Formats: sequence, C-alpha cells, structure tokens
Amino acid sequence: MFANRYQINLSTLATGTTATTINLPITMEYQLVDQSELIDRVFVDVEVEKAINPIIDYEKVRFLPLNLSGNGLETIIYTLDLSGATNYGAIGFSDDDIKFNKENFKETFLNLSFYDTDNPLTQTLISFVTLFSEIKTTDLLPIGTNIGIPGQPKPASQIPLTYVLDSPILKHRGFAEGYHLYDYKDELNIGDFKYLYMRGTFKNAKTGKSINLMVQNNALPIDNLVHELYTRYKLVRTTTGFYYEIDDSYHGDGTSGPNNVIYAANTVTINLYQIKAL
Amino acid sequence: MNTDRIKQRLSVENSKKSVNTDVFLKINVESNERLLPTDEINKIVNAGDRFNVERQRSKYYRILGTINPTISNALFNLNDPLYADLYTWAGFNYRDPNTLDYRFLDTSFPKDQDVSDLSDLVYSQAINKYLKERDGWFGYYEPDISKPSLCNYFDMEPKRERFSFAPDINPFHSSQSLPIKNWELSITYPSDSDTTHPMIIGGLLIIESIPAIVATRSMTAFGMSCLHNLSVGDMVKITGTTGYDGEHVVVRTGLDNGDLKPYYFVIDIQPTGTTSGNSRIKRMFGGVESQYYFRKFRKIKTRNASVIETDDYEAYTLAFSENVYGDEISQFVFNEDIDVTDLIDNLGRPLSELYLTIIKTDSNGLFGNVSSGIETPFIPDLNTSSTNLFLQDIPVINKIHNGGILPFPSHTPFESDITIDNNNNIPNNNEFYGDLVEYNINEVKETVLADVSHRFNTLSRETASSLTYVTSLGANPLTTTIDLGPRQEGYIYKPHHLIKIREFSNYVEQGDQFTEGVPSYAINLGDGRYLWRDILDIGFNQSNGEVIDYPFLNGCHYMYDNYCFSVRRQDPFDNWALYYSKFPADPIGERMTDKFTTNSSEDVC
Repeated sequence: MFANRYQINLSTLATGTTATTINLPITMEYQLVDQSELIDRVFVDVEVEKAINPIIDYEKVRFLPLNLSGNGLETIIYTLDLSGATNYGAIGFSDDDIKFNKENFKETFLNLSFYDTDNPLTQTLISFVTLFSEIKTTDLLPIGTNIGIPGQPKPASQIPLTYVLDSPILKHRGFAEGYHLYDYKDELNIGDFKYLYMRGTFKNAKTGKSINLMVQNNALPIDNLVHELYTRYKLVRTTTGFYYEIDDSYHGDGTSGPNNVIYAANTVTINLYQIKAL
Repeated sequence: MNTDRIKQRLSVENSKKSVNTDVFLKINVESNERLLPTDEINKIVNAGDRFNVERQRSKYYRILGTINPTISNALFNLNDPLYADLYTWAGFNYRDPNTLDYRFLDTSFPKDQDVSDLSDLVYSQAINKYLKERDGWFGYYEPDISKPSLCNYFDMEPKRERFSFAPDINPFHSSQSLPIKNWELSITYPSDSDTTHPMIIGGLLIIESIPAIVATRSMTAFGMSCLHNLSVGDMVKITGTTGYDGEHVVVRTGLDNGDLKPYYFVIDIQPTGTTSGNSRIKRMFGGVESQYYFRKFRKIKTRNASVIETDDYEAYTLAFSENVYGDEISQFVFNEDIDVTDLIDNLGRPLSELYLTIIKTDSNGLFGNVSSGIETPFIPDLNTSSTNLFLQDIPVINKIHNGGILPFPSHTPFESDITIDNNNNIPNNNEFYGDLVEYNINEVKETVLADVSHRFNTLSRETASSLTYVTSLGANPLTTTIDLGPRQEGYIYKPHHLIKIREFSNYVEQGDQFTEGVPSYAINLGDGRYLWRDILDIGFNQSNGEVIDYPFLNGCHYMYDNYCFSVRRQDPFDNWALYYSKFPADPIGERMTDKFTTNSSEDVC
C-alpha cells in the first residue's frame, strides 16, 4: 500500500480560525499478494528490454569529394616527397621494374589511415585506403618521342611519386579506388559534419622500407612534429547527399594558413613528405 | 490486512462541566503490509522472437537494385544543323560547306570533294553501305579510310549514352556541361485513384462486339482494351449497348482461333446488337458489381523529408557487367531510408506495395515530352479511332503521339508532360498514373488489368526536316528534295516496377460491430457486416503462394531486386499506323516466328 504524506502549515490557515477541518480521505486499496503481474510489467520487462542490445546501424554511405566551390572534384592527387626523392628512380626502382611491371613496383603502395582525432593518445582508426603503384597514361612515352619506344613506360626517374584518383563517372578509365570515402550513415544528420584525420605511410616493396609521412617539408622539433602528421577531411551531409572536403587550412597546432592541400579548378593535390625530426 | 482503530473520547464525558471542543488528531496513514517476495524470476530472451518483433515493428526500407536495360536507337534523329548533321539521317548526305567534303558520298582516295567518280555513292547507296546495326544500336563505322579511327563505331543519335542510367558526361549538344541524368528514379506507392476517366466510368469500355462461333452455335464476342479478368462461368453485366444489355454468363474467353483470351469474352447471345462509346461491362461477383479505377502513385516520404527527392539516390554502371546485347547493367541505391509509417494506400490500408518509378528526362533537350497510356495487344479495331471517336478516350500507348491529327488523331494520354517534379506541369504534383485495377468489395482484392506505359520521342524526329540529297553521280549531281519527317513513332517503356513489401491474407474475414480486431480498413457492407483481409506478417507462409520475405538488419528492411527494363518502339511492325515508311524509312522490326502454335479454342461442349 502506498501512502501520501501531507504536511499542513498552520500559517496557511486563516488567522484565528478555529474548528478548521480538513477532509482526509482514508481509502484502502485492494492489492494482490506478491503482485507478480506488476513485477513482470514494471520491473522484469523493463530489465529485459535493457538487457537487449540496441539496434546499431552499420550501413555505410559513399562520400563524394567537393572542391572549394562545392562542386564535384574530378581528380585527387597524392604527391610524395621522400627527403627530396620525388620519382621512382630516386627510391631504388630500375627502369625494368617499371617496364615489366614487376611485383616490387605493383606492391609498392601508399597507405592512408583515417582517424577520428589527431590526438594519438585517444584516437581510433576509422578506415584506411591503400593506393597501389601503377603506370598511368602520362607515364608512357608519347608518340614522336626520340628516345625509347612510344607507348612504353618512361624511365623510372621520370615517373613521379604521385597517386592519381579520378572520378569514376567523369573519368571512368581512371583509377577510382580511394576517390570516395565511406562512413556510417547514421552518424551524420542533415547539416552535420565530422572530421577525419588522415596520416600517410609509404611502403616501398623494392627496399622493404615503410616510411611515415607528414605534411611539412622541413625538419621539425618532435614537439612540433606531432602536430604536422595529419591532413584533415571534413565529412558533411547536406540535403542533397554525403560529401567531403579536404581542409586546405588545417594545422594541428591550431594555427591557420595554407597547408599541404592545394586546390585547382577540378583537382586537389595533397603533398605528403617524409618525416624529419630535429 | 490489519487496521488500527482510533478512539477519541468526547470532552463532555470527562465531567459535567466539560464541553465538547474541536479536537485535532494527527493520523499517519501508513500501511504495515509487506509484499511477499516472489520466487526467483528467470526470463529467457529468444533471439529469433526478438528479431521478429523488431522486424515487424520496423517501418523503414532501404531500396537498391540492378537494372538490366534492353534499349535500341532504331528511331534516330533526322538532322542536326548545329552539329553538321552528325549521327542523323541527313548526315549520310552531308557536305561540309567550307571544305566541300562529302562525308559519306565521296569515296575517292584521297578525297576529291566531288561525287563524279564511279566509285562515289549517292545518298541511298551511302545509307545501304554505311548504316549498320550492332546489337540493336544503329550507327556507322568511320567512312574516311585515311583516319586512324577507321574501326570506330559511332552510334546514331540518340546514342546509348543518352539512355544510360549513369549520368551522361558528354551530354547532347553540350559537351562542356555537368553530367546529366537520362532517367530519374523514385519510390512511389498507390495513394489515390481516378474513377472518372472515360475508359472506366460506369464500367470498362467495350471496343467492339463481333460474331463468334462456339460449338457451331452463333454467339457474340466482346473485345476489351485491357484484361477483362473473366473466366468461363463468370457473370458479366453489360450496359449501354443495343441488344446485349443485361447480366450474362461468360461461355468462352478469346477469339474463335484461341487468340487474345484475356481480352475477348463470349456470351451466348446472337450477334445482332451493336455497341457504342457508352457500352460497358462490369464483372459480377457474389451479386456485386466490380469497380474499375486507375490507381495513382505518389512519391513516398523518407526519414528526413516528406517527399523523396531526386538526389536521394545514386545510380552507376556495374563494372564488367553487361547483358547479351552489350548494354551496360546499372545499379542504384537509395541513400535515404524510405519511411512507410502512417502511410495508407488508395483503399485506406497499410502499404503493401511500393513501386520503383523510372521517368525519362529530356537528356539536355534531345527528347521531347513524356506521355502516358496503357499498353494493349494489337486489336485492329483500335485503328478505327479516326471515325469511332470514343476509342480515342482509350489511352493506347501505341496510338499516342505529338502530331495532332497526323498521321491520325492521337489518343488522349493520361499525362502529356511527365516529369519527376511538378508532374504534368502542375506545381508540387507528385502523383503519376500507375495502373488500371478492378476491385470487388466481396473479394476485397484489387486485380491489375493494365499497367501504365510512358512514351517519348526525340525532338528532331517530330520536326519537319527538309533534305536535298544526291540521286545521281556527276560533276553536277542530280538532287531531290524531300522532307525527312516528322516521324511520330517514339519509344515506350514501363515506368512503375512493383516492390512487394507486405501480403494480404488469402482469406476474407467477416465481422460486425461486436467483433474484436476489425481493422480500420475493413469494408462496411452497409448491412452491419464488415469484410477485410488480414495483412500478414513479413515472412509468414500462407502455404500457397510466394512468401514475402526479405532481409532485415540495421533496423531497416532491405529490398533488392533485378529489374529488366525495356525501351521499345511504338510501332516496329507497322501495326498502329505510326511507322514511317517513306524514304529513308525507319528500320522495320524483324518478327520472331513461332515454332509451335500454343493457342487453342475452348471447347465448352
């Protein structure tokens, strides 16, 4: 049985009034012994419901890259500078490695790891993209060349360390792996955005070396270096879809200004450099 | 229950001088009962049951699918003055006004900019030599043998890119613009109905009545422009005729040779009467007349918007995937979740059907307006609509065109300018004609009698285009001037594709006002009885028929299907008087001949 307690302050009664009466209903409620139905309903069912896993939406959607004007990008270029080495010849590849498309060339790749924060103590790896080396049409000797055979690959020293990603719709003959980003659908409502922080690593299958990359082309003290490892991607959801932009002013130390991301009309270039610490 | 009794002695009882005064008591209302502890409680959560509960409760759908298109460009453009008549009929006679080079006619090597050589061609020869068809796509190989692109095949316009479900990155007449969609996709559901269309008001319109012989007995066959949904032994009510009105038993379906069974039925009455534009039929079931109406499909709502939008999906071609005709297979994904919460169909029932709706765009001004009608089999009497004017009220998709009264008066379409937004030029109109159904309240079931089709054509074909072409070779070649058009034959396709999400029971339930669980959509028969069909749980097996079952995860239902999508010609075999047969004529269709005859007349004796 549940009882309500009432406290009546005398001052609330009219002054000098006597014989003030208060109607106090005293009712008894019939109750079942042990009330198992009530227990089932308000306790057991609730506790069972709590014990059941919530439905988590694992659906991912495709995010399309935009340029600074909000239009679709045609090409994304990742350019590497490994302590001054900017072509395959400079990092140990021979001309034949390229010409014969050897495994050490095909298995050399750029790995882009995307984290939820740039704080290495708390960050979580969200996803990663692997961009393998390949011969692009611009890496072939043109018709009319005086040296070599037209249509065959250029010398390794003339093939830059770049990874070019093309829109599969606008340039369907290009390489599109990594052009789109994928992330969970339900984490963004319309108008929301989130950041992903990308850190690059270059894996050279010719030398077996794994080279971590940063976004500045000069040696930095270690305290500063930790702020120059990441390129920031902004994932947005608008009324028209899911998009991402690559931040061209982000610096991990909170400063602003141009960084390693350079936009042109329909192209964005992300420059990545080998880590160098003072 | 234990109750304390409270006693208060009145003051007057204390002494003879005492008087009663007000007495105030503090009463603490408190129970001293205690619940008996219940036994140990164990609760088993069944994962399967739990899954089913969540599944039945979810109202969200994620829709994706594969589109396998079968399309042809047999109806290609007449000319293209802005782009040197490229990929058109006139292009085979084209001569560059600056270089004086004949693109096709001058076959000399090197070219000598005239058609005086014996090896040169006249216009008709150029068409015969260069116009090719590969897997249904008309075009030509590069005619100039000095060019490196000699083996390249060029589609006539409209090219296959104009029909692709992936955006066209080099749109017609605008290679520098942004990619353009050739088709718009949407998800719709039956939300409303049109009960006043001339074809169905008062019953289904009869096309014709003709004599029929059933077991040597002379009877009358009636032709319909849609499925009549009648079987032998059914009752049919005929009105608006002379000599045939009344209720009759169907004694046969189809013509005497067994053709067109779903469209003709026979009653045992001498063929002495006549029909007109007022002649109608209604199927009778349990003494109740069927109703006929066109369902209208409305664009559905999503989790984030009240109306699904054109940017709520992505379409792309599948890698390494094409059909036997070389047409690219595409896939689509709706990124927005479809929300069917609180939605009801045209009969007030919870939604049991969604439709994938596909609408043709103008592909950057290449195509004209899109009209709608129904597809019917070829019934010669429909070609008499110029004189039997009431037939023009039947929106036969093969008889709809934009030529006004030429080559014959067009039948009246449901909609004449179909667009994904503001359909038919009505602001915020999100409804499309979907199909024709029959509904009988004794059956509580809709039967689809005809699907709606859409029709479109290229603007170039519907425009008069004068052409002066070379008819004989020589230094001063002879020419003839003709008009290449207009050509009113266009393309047709089926726009609405069913996505079945729920199923109604095979059993009709009956109840009255005292019956528990009568659903809100039950039909009140007016005599105290209610009829309805239960809507079955997802995955429930009725043991006869296909089970509606589909994946459920992430809190949503996933609806995937393959859609075969055909874009066909209106009149490839010159049945409907839309085929353009003057020189240079459109390609004529090649019939597939039957290896076996499967028709048979029904012997009712």
